[in-house]
Amino acid sequence: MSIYEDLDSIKVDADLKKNETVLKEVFRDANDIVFRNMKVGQNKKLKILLFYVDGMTTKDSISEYAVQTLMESINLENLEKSNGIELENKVLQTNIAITELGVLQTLQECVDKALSGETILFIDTCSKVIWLSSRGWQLRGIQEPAAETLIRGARDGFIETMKINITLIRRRIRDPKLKVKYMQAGTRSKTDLALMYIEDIVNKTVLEEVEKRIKNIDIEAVLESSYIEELIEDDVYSPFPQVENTERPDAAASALLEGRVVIAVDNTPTVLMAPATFVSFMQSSEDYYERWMLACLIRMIRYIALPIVMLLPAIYVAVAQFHPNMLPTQLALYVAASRANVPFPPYFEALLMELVMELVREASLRITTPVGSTIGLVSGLVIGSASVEAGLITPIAVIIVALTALASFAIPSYNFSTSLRMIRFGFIILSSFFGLFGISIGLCILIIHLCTLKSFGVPYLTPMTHFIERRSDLKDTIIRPKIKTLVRKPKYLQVEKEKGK
Amino acid sequence: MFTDIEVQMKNIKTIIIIIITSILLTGCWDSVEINKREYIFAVGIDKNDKALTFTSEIPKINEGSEEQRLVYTKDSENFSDFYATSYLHSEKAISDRLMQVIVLGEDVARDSETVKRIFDEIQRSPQMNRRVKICIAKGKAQDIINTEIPSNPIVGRFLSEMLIKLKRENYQDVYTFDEAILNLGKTGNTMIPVVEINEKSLKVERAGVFKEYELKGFLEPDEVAAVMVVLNPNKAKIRNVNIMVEGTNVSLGVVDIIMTTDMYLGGDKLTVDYYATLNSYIDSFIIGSNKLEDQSYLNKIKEEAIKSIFAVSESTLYKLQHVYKTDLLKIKEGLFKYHKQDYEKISDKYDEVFEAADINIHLDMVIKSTGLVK
Amino acid sequence: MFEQKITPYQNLSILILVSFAFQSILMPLLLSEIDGPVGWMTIIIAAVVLYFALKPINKMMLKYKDNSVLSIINKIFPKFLSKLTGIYYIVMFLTANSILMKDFAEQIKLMMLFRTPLGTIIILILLTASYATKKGIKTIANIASIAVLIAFIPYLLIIIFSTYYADYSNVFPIYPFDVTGVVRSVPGSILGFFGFSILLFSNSKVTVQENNRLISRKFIIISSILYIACYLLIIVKFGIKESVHLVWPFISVMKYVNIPGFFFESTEIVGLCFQIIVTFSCICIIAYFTNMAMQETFNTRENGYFVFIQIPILYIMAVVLPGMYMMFPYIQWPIIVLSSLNLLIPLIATLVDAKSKKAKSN
Repeated sequence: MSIYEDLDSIKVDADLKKNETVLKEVFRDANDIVFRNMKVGQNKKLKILLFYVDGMTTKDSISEYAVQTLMESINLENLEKSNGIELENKVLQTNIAITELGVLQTLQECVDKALSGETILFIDTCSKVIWLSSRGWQLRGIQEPAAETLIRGARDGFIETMKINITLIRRRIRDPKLKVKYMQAGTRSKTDLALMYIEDIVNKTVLEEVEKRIKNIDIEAVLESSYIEELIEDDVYSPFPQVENTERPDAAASALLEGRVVIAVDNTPTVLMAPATFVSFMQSSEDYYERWMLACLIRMIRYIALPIVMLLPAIYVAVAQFHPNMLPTQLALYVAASRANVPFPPYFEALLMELVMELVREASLRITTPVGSTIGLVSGLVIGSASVEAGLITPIAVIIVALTALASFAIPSYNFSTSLRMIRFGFIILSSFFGLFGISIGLCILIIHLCTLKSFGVPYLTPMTHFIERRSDLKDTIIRPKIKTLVRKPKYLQVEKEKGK
Repeated sequence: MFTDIEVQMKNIKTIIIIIITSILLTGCWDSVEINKREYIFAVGIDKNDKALTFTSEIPKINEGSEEQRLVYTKDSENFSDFYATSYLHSEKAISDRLMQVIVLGEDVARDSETVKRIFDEIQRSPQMNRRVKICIAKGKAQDIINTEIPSNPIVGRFLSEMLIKLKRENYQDVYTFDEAILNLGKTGNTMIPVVEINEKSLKVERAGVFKEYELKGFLEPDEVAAVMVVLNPNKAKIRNVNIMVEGTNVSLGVVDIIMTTDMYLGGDKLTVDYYATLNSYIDSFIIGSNKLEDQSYLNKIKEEAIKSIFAVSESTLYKLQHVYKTDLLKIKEGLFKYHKQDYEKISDKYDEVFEAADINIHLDMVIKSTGLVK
Repeated sequence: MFEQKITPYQNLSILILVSFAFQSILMPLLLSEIDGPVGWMTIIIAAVVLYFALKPINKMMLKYKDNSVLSIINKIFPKFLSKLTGIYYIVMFLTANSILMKDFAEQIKLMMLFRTPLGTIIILILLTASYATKKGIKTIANIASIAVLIAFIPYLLIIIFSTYYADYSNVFPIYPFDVTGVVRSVPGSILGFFGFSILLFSNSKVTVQENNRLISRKFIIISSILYIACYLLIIVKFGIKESVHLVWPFISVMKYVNIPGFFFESTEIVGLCFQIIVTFSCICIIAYFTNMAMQETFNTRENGYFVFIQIPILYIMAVVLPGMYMMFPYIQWPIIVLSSLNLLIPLIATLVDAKSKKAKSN
């Protein structure tokens, strides 16, 4: 263990052998780490050591552009006995056709760089080390995002390589004020993060808060952006997400243009966007690509879907158990007749069907695509109609659950619709005890929670909580304003200087 | 992150919440499944020697059953007593939340005390909707409820739909309990539809005249129509005016009635003038005659029609003023709203003033159309 | 927690919501005290009185920024008087809150949950509201804004549909009107503007206090328009003779809502669901300002934990108090006293402050 702890303090030795010994000790039993000793220079007298991770580098670029050049260009006759600094400068000035390179001084830095996919060049008698940009692992091609498909819109999505993701965003915002700050998180994984923002638009308070929270992350490994999300959000116990994520570069660009902060995480094909509010989860990129009137209609349908997702099964339970007089007479009699031979009470029916629906959803996620949709269809048919015919549930319950499931797909954000699905169970339980009164109390508790919730200092229910002061922001909630009148920078992100808001 | 004390506080809070929640949620006091209730659709109330006879109609909700409804008859003091007794005689919970119609037997309607008790209970009940339909049975309400109508076996639904239709078409002034109670509160009088058995069905043609919660008598269909013309001229129609003009039977209908009212109260003398312009159309004449092209013939039709309508109006007014002494025309309400100072002087003797009032109807007719042929 | 502020329009939402809750409770009083459908005159008179009373009060509160009327009174009155005033406000808020809860719980019990014990309904509402109260004024202001958007406005819109069965001539006769009745019902109408009492505390929590005068005016105008509109709605639907007998006019009006194509039959239950959210917001608003009154009376740093003291007091009061309809015959004098004190206390404070200012300048 001590060699790993001391690594930070071990500077690069001028003796190549010593460096090699230490590194071989560090990477003992790591057979994918390559140590390549060579003699370069016109006299082939200069010893170098190339140190890289097999599979993470483009070996061709190193051998073609670096090694070959070093072998041919450097005339070391006069430099054989020169000090390391002169040699190092000479090497640096050599026409190594690598676009990016730099100098390292400690072995820890060498290890970190090598594990990031760079090639480390040790030169005998030099007390500094040169790293050559050689990242080149196998990449997944840019594809359409799986979870955020649009009918009209760009079909490129983020991939696992952070730098390519940054590029995808840069292509959309060719503004020098778009800043990208690199950070790292995870003591072992040392996952690269990029904090992106537009300097003159971003809310500085939010930016500072995001930076501070990322710096305070103390975790061994960050395997996915969800780790970052959970570690930086305001309230982990809330069922509602407070950081948005997207696979779409256009959505990320749009967030940047609003003044939000985007966090790209290496090895994750999603980026995080902060702050996130209730309204932002109900917006989709497609709203801005379709015609205005259609977009307004779709948005309104989405907001209608919201109470359906949360409350429809609970309302069914409340009406069937407590308030049958709410139904039209014919319907009440029909529901009563259909329930006559069903052994389960309405709340059990609703809970059971919702559980089955969640099982079908999970099962279809795990199964490969061609079969998955068939399984979903078959299970829906079998469970739905067969259960009705067997007298286990009523047709109304099947319709209710199907409608609820459809409505949940109308919510653009998967995270958010999952939260609503979770809350639904709470409402069903409350309504089974107190009917519509229970649902109302549940809504009150939900409202309290949402009113308390903040995302990096921004109230979650903005702009509804300030619907007079921020009425211009209300334009982009239930309807979509015309592109001409679209307020790119919402007021809730411009409040840093105002006290108490 | 948390100190020990904070963790303990959090644990205590959680325990308290769990305890309160389990106490509160052991209830479901009001939970009765929709299929475990019996919904009373119609109730008929008759009088007997000791108490009231409640006849209730409950549609059967079991699928596949041959019977469409159940009819329960019980002697009870009031609705609550009836529910309490019925509760013990059925495996399901009685519910009046979907009640469609209440039928008062003629004997009940003629007893003001009983009517007041029943109306009070209905308006107090939070479950029973004040929009429940109400009508008077000619004879026994039990017979009305027990009627087997082949086309619509549920009498409550049949009557409810019938009354909605009659109200919409302006055949009747009142069709819900709420309207009845509002009218009785404002003027002390109201007109409630009367339901009668008609072979294998039911009919609602006449109306019962209520004064101070007591049934005074009945109005015939044309009298009801005449009252409706005065009460709601914009929506009123006179559907069938049959007259004989120069040996030919002519049938007219009247739509679009324009009416103005003039009320004057000088001391104890009330004078009310109704000026109505009736826009009419010819319903039927006789093939082969082209007399309708003659203006003078049309004028004769107008005269005869006016005479006929006037006769009905006069007889209705006479009945209301002198026989029933009941102001169904809401003159009292008009005096209260627009001539309050004068009304207050005679408010305690309004009945006499109304009986002695000079109520005049001035009719004018315009024949707007002769139909699709001349 | 200590320095939470609300925006002026959130303040306005709070005041309108609270006033609406008490206007609906006191509506039967307004309907029964006057012989004739002229209660709107009373409302106008009450609104005018409050409108002019607010001018000096706002001026004084602007002078003592970030101070509620109670803390101003603590500064300018002798200690004994200021403590007494504090206790008066605490008792008034507690009583008002418990009456609101009791009245509302009875409506829920009667219309929705007939067999559920009243205590259970009260404790559920109370615990939910206390959860919000504990979170502070910012959360409460947010809740008030949300309640206005998603509950209050839809509730009013639904009620408008009850005019399908209305007779608009029921607003007559206007002349001659019952002068004695109009004058007698003014204290009740003033009390109906309960937001006036809340305003004396909430104005100190607003970010831009210079706007308080404008907001106060808007509150009076909007609240009185709503009050008059609701009063007239009940009159046109039921007429004055029937309205007098109603215990909860709004519930009765809700039963007649006829939205074309709406499939729910018992619309009063739908209306009650919206009213639950509105009433719950009002309860937590009043509970918060009770906390604030307690804080300023007992000179504590924080006020959040006073809600734990309030919960048992409110519960016991709500359970023990008879229903509002049973109290109507006996509350004439208490209403006169309460509305007079509510009006006079801040006005006396402005007078005393103006006198002391004069004395200082002399």
